[in-house]
Amino acid sequence: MQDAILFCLMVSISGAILMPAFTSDISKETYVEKENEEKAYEILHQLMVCKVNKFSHLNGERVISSLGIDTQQEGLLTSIIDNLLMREQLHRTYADLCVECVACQFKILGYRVNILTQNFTEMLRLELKKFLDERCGTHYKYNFTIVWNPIVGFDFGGDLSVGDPIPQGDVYVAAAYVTMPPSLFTTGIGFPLQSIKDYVYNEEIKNGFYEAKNGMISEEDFKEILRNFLIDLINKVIWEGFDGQENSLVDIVIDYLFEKLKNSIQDVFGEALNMVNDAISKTGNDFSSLTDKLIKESFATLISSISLSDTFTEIIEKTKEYIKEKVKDFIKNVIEEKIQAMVSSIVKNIHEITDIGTEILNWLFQQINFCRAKMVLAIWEV
Amino acid sequence: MRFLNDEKGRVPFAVLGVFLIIGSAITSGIITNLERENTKEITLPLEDYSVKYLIRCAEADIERALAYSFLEALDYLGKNPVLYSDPSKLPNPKIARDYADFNENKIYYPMDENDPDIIDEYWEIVKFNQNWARNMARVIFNKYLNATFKNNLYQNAGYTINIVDPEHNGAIDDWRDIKLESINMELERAHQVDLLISEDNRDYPVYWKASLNNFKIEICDLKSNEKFLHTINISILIPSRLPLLIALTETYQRSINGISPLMGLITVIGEIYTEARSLLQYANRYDWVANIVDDRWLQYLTNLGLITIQYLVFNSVDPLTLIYLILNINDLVSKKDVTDVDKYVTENAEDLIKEQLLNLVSLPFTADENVFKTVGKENEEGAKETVNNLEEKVDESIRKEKGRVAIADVARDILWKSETKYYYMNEKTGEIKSEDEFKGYKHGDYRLTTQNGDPTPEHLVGDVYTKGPLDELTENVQTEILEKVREIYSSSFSTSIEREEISDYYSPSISQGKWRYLSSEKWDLIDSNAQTTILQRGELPSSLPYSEVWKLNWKREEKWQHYEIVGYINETPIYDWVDYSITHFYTERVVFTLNAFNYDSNINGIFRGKDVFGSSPHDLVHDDNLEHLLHKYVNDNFTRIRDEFIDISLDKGKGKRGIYDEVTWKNNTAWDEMQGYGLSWLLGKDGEVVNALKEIIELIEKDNEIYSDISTFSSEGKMVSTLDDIEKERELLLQKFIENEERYIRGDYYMENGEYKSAGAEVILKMREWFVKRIEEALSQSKKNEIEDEINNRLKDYNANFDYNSYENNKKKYEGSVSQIGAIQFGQKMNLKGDWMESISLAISATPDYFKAAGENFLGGKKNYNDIAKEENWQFNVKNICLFGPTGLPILPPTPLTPWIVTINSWYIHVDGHWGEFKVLDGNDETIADSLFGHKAAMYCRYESFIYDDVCHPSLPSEDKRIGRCERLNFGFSTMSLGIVPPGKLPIGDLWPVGSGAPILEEHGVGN
Repeated sequence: MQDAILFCLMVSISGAILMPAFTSDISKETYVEKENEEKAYEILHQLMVCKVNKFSHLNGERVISSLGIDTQQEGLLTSIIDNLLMREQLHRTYADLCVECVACQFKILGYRVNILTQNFTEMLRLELKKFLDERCGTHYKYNFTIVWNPIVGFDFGGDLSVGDPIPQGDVYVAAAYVTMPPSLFTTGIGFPLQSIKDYVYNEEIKNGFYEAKNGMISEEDFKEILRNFLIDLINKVIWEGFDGQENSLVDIVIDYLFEKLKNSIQDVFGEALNMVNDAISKTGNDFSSLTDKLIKESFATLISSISLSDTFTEIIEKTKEYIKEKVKDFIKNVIEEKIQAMVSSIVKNIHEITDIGTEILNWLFQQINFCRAKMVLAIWEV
Repeated sequence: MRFLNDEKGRVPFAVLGVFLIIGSAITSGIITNLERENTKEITLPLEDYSVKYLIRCAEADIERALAYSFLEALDYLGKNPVLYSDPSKLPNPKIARDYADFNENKIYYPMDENDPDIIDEYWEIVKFNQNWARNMARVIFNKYLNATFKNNLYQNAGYTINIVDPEHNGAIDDWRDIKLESINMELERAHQVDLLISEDNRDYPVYWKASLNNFKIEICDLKSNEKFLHTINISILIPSRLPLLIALTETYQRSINGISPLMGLITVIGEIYTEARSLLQYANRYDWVANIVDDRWLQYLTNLGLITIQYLVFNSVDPLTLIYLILNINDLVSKKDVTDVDKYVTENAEDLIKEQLLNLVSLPFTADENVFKTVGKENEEGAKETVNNLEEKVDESIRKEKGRVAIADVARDILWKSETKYYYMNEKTGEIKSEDEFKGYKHGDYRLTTQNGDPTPEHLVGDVYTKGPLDELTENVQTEILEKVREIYSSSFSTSIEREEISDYYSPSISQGKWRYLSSEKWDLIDSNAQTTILQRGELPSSLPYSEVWKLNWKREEKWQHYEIVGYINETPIYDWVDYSITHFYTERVVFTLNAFNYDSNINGIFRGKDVFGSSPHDLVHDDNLEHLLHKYVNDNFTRIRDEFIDISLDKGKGKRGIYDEVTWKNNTAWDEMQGYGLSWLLGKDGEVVNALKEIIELIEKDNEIYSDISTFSSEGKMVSTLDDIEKERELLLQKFIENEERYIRGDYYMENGEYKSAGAEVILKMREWFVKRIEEALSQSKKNEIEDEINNRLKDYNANFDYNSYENNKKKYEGSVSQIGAIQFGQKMNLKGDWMESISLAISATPDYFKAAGENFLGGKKNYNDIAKEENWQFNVKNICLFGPTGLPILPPTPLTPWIVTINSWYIHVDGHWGEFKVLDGNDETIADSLFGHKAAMYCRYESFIYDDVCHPSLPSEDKRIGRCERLNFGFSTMSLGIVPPGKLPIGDLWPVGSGAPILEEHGVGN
């Protein structure tokens, strides 16, 4: 009896030893994990290549509804408004629409300045949700985010997010860079590229590099020279400008934004819409004055020193002042750290480097790049 | 218990158990290891997948970058298209020549003759611009690639992707590496009227597809620094429909230039205005209508035509143009003194705008309503009433004119002489002289005017010709009557003699023996006896031919010799000829026949005079027929000859037979008589022939009811509007006339049992037939060619590049199309069908919105919507020339002969102009990114400017990067308008400005 019991026990022990090996589904889980990883990449790739059949959004929706214009009526009115303000796209990929959406948000320091394209963001969000729901099904949840942050670390640009917040735990993530659409920044028409190049290739830093490379000055001295140079460069690029001109990034962006707003109100909202407005507006308000007012309100929310009675010129000046102050803080707190790392890297590899100017430019354009945004898709099982 | 005490299986069980455990452990370990290996293998390719997706995402992104590059390039191209380039005339021809390298072999004109020298044709322009777009896209694409795919910027999963650019001049060296392929689709318009658009087919290029083959990228392993070269092929649809915008604009340009739908539309609609205004002048309303064709309403119609064709081509219009068209409707007002009240829409202007904005718009094509606007607000209703009444009243007078007066007049002119005077004025000296014949509108320095000079608003109505009837027959009629009489009252006569021997014997007989003739005396007619009744002088035979039979006895003394025995010698008889006198007796039967021939045997009793007629239109008359001639012959010839041959004292004509005294007498005149015998009742203006012809005229006059039914135009209440209409009228008239010819001829009156009642009856009947035929010929004569020649000559004087025929053909071609245009909308959706379907709606923006030759503010200073400041950029010329001056061209009897007497006038119209700026936007596929609005529409712009290649050569001086020029969108056409009114009133034409004489030339232009 004892032997039988012992034997049974031993059999049980064998079974217990073997069971994990047979019941283990690690392969399956690994396989599933691999598929999920691939799924995330696949969906992200599909976002880049699949096209939306038809997409549309209405600019200035707030302005139109404030004027009490009924856009459902037949006749010329609907057509004029549609033509001027409605935007439709055929044959665009989801990625195209995403980058175009973030490119026109003008988010500064957490606040969206461009009030005209809110409907664009809303409609795109709906479209993305529909697409991703279809791809992910009911077994997965997702979070898709696209961020355009041209100056690394500085809160300027645009973003769009769809889906649930990312949980702790197993999440499969895929990321890709996407090219931004042509704009003032990408085509470099306004951006002072030549001034930057001229500044970078000046004698001071070239001499310093040469001396450091040949041991004529100490590493510490060169680090100091390089650090100061890079800080100056960043300041000039972002807010100070070159040669006393208002050609820094902040100057260009703010001037461009307001110029475009002003011209659009005149050209786009000008003759045709004013004629429409005069004829059929129920509020008695002028279309362009109302747009002016709404934009001013928008800036006044961001910058407390702005009042609705200020002229556009005053608003521009105050906005620039405010942002430049913020930028100085940013440079001090964020960029200085990166500069430190860059300086150390250059000094460490000084003998492999042949052209200091190119190195500096490459680093600069890694920190400041208007031409690309980053898409990230995270999926997880429900 | 026993089994509990059984210890035999313990050790083996234990050993077994131990082995089992060990075996399980080993097996578990093996399986776990296997699982692990398997798991490793599963995850092994994860890294590959990461790289694979990196490459796939990079490829997708590079394609997107290429698409964005092209969008940017096409955005620039759309705003700065090259419409003309002559590289040889550029400061730096190299850039333009490069884009003109259509064979893409880098060999340029003139070395490669297949490349064009000058780029000015449409297909060359498209190709040139495509090549330029490729180069611009290449430059922008290289910038993109440098900013995103260089210096390890594009990295993920430990790998980075860079472009291969060893020479640091961009990943793509040459624009020729980027291929463009056109994607065509069929355009289906929401509203299509084929004839009103100049397009070969509806297959249009809509998209371009860009492809780049063998593009090298470098994949770099960041850990090991290994680099791999990879080649990819990129192909992307450029989501810009600029090719379609370019092609449709070209279609629009073709539709509004030269012999084009615009020309046809203006011609057809203009005709309605010309007709109505001509009729108003005809109704004596010269105070309302000083000039029939006026620049003001032409200006309005041109704008209307431009926007209509714009709508039909693009299914969209510039909304402001539409509003201005509606607000400027008072531009139609074109009476002589246009007041401010007439000109400006001041009342309810904003309500009008609102009304149009909120509803679908119908273009004012129902010219029936708007045509009366041309005489001004206070006269609109009156004008409408006048024309409507006129159409009824004139309709009646047309009927009367047509049936009675028109044809009867022609008949009268054939019968009676008249004296007509036409009045001509020397254009240089102003001298007025009269002419006896119509010499056309113009001859030498003279042109048509009225008896009292040119009509003016003060002295409106005048006579272009004065006609006074003369109480004389026309030469034609006289000649014809005489001819007929001569022929019908004619006959030939002859006398024929036939002889037949009855007996012939000698006394004594010479039948025996041998006789020979010696001599004879002449025959002596000893006896003549009539065997039948004979005709005496003054008698007429009862029938013809008439024969008399006579028996004539002849004798003659003859000398004969008989060969007989004159003696014997030795009982031998001696023969010799012995003379004898013999009397020869001969009896013959002679038939004398009086022959009549070459006369009309179809006349009853032609050789007997008789009384004929006695009922309308003829009196009872005695028609000699040919009795007189017969009498004459019988008396002077037949009896004479017969008597001669039977006279025994004359001894004439033994044995003779033959025809004697053959005579032909015409005109009832024998021998050398001076005039026809007994014909006076037929001849002359009081003769029965003329009475018969007068009766025909009366019958025609009575038939006005018949002729009034034939007009298709009067039954529709419409006036004739082209020369073809006149032709149709004429043909209908002719047909009706032919149907009634027999009634006019009245053959029954002059015939009996198939024969003419008398010679005179035949004359009259034949004259009636001749007269009716002359009228028919006059009706058959088409004067259209002459009128056309007259118009064409005038058109040539003004260097028109078309003739009347082209005008009429074009009018007919476009007439039916006008009614197919209905309501229009701004931005209607059109369908595009190809491998897939999509829709497009376009937006148009043009400057100026409304072409005004006068350049006035349309709201009288209240608001200034016309941007006069931009006037130097656009141009509008409108010109109309009244070809037949203030009088018009009367189509008159007798020369040229036409039953439809009208007055016509025609106007040569020339319009040309160009927009300062013309933009077409893709209204429902805005794919070009915009920082403020998210997106903006693709735009194609036409304006006048040099074009510089700023994108590809930013650092060159301006002039060195000039590659061509953009040209304004222009329009232009020449046409004419025709006004036709019934006869009786003059003038119809342009009367203002006073004293300027004809032709009245109105010409306005602004800009350059």
